[in-house]
Amino acid sequence: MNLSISLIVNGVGRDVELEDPRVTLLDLLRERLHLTGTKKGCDRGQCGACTVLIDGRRVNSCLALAISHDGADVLTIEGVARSDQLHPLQAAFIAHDGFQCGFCTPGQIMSALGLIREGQAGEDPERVREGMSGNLCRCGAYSGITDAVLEVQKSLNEASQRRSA
Amino acid sequence: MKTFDYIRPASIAEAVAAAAEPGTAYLAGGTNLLDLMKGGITRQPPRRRLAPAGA
Repeated sequence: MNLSISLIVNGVGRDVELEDPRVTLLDLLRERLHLTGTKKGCDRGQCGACTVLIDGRRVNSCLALAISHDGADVLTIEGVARSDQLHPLQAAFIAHDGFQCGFCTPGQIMSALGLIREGQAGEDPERVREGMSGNLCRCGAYSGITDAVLEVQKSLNEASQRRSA
Repeated sequence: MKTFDYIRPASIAEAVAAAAEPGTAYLAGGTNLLDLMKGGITRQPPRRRLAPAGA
């Protein structure tokens, strides 16, 4: 049985030989590709710390079998910043104290990125909270997280309005 | 998690035939089945899992 897969991870093509079909995408990223920015929190799909984007959609990588995603385009927290320039979401999380210990932050930022791409949150804090409800923060930085997402959402909306004006 | 065989059927007919064998489960998105298997909660852990046809 051929268990080798090819992925694009943060824009780079990676070929991985799997020895077992049980390998999750999370373990592949962390243990095989050494991209440890994606965190293993509960490993049960309940906390969202392992959130990555697969083909632009947010996914709990702990509940994704790597072998199921042959050919996928995966974006992790390592691929978010542009060289030494933080992504606006990363900057906003710092500006709004959107974290304390930081363990959930990679997942929070990937989820926020997915939420913004989905375009379903708008500027309504309640909808942002709902859209981010799959990502737990045990430090309780939720208000800062919501503020950060809202700020980036707002600046993106303004930018797109300026472009269309 | 107990080990299993991972099958990628090439057609719907192939998937249906493979799934008819005892101990086989459709993986679909996997978030439910995988969670139950990790926790050892499924009463009869599937021996084999199917990816959706064409996926």
